[in-house]
Amino acid sequence: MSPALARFARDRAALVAAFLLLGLALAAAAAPLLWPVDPDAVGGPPLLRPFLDPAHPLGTDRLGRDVLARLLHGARLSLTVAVAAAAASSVLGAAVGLAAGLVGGRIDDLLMRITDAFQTVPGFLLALAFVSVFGPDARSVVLAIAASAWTGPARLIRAEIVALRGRDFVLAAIVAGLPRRDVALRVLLPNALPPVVAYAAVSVASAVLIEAALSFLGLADPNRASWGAMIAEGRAVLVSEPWLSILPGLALLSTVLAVNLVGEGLNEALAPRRARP
Amino acid sequence: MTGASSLLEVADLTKRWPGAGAPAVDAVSFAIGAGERVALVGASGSGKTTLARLVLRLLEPDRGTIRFSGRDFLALRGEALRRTRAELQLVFQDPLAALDPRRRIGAQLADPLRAHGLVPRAERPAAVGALLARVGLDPALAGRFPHELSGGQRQRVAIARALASRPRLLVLDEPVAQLDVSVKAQILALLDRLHREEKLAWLWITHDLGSARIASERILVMDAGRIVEEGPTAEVLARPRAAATRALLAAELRLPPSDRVDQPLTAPSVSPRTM
Repeated sequence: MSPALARFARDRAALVAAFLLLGLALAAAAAPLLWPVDPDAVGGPPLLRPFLDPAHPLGTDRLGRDVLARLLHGARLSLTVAVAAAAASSVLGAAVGLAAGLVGGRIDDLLMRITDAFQTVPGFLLALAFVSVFGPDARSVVLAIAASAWTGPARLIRAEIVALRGRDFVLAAIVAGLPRRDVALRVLLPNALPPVVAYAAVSVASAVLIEAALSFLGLADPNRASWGAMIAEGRAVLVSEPWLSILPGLALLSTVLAVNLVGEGLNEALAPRRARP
Repeated sequence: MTGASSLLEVADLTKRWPGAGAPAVDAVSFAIGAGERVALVGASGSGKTTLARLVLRLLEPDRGTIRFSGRDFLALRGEALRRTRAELQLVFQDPLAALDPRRRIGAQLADPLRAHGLVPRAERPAAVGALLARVGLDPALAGRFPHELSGGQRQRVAIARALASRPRLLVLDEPVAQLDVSVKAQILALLDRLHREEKLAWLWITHDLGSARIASERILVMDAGRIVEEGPTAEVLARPRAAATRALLAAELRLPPSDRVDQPLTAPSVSPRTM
């Protein structure tokens, strides 16, 4: 077991959260096998409360659709969109940050001012504008979240590269004769990446929330079950039938919490200063 | 000074850190002949490490000239500089900081072999093993990460890496400060053999006069960025003129005998700085 993995495993909360997420991801992926009920079909009486009918363990919504099936399919959408958005924003941000940190000078200034400009616009507003222009399908939601979230990893990796450039082992690699490209890709990048990986994990959490918020506002694909949309639909009967909002809310809460715990665990485990005994 | 036959000639080298009052390195001039062993001694903060980095061009000087093998070393750019560094190597003071924490020892030892096209890919593992064996380490250590090695092992890896490209001049920044007595002797013996067989020259940077005494013919004493005294090592240490030299000698006398490398190397007691 690698030292970073061993350190991660010692963090109880992160480990439990990681298993929870893994379970959720597996359940989401295997939803059609695990609970083969169409999330969009009207399969029972409307507003059936949870734990009353084994055919609908978590009850039904206002249209009589199965809540468990909708939660599982909602998890598919939420997790896929969030992971794709976090990956896209990390790759874009890492590329910008690496270029700025390595080249320096005017290119660095230019790239960082662009980053600042993006950062001054609230992420959610940017995502709203993006979706209203490109339409409410899952792909544009991913792009919308990535367009607002790439600035974090960009600043992070630039700062790491700038700090690493003067470290002895980087100078030693230069003295050993490594060409500039090898110094950048074999030495600087691997050492600058861990905090970005940890940040990406945390940014999955905010992507889940932005996706839910967009769905809540009806700006995501209306034909697919989503946690945000479920909360929005449950709102109409919040007083009489609160579980319709509470159940997807709990799913959202535990996912975001778990993702944050895993992110923090990764941050601790991968921190280069702690990599030394 | 050895004049025209010098391997390294440094003249008027000056570096002032932005915002600092006095220069860290102040109008330093010296020369090292081919195969010559020179020590650079001075207290902490006297500018030794800055001078080492200037000589390797890890820092650019504000003023002065460096000639290496008769060429203007400060005029070299890009590929020419990279190529020339094969002949001029540096061993860093802190071996843990000088090794990449995320790459295996073997990969880091292979860097100079690959970068200078010295050993074809297929033969590199064997060459890396030979480098490790040369500094008295088990070739199996190639698969380890730096944090899995002891301080002494790491310094030997750093020395092995510096020797990989067959340099003509080695700048060693406190190379044996972290090693225990027997390993110190082993490294000194290895370097001594390279000095005799391959005419390896070095600039041995230390604050410890004991290792300077056995590792150099000529000594430079540095104080507050300047060379304040130079001459044959035995002569300078027997009849010091500069106050900085006398201060270093006085400090040495207060050390416990086990910490002095010029004592018999088979001394049973082990330096408290081991590991």
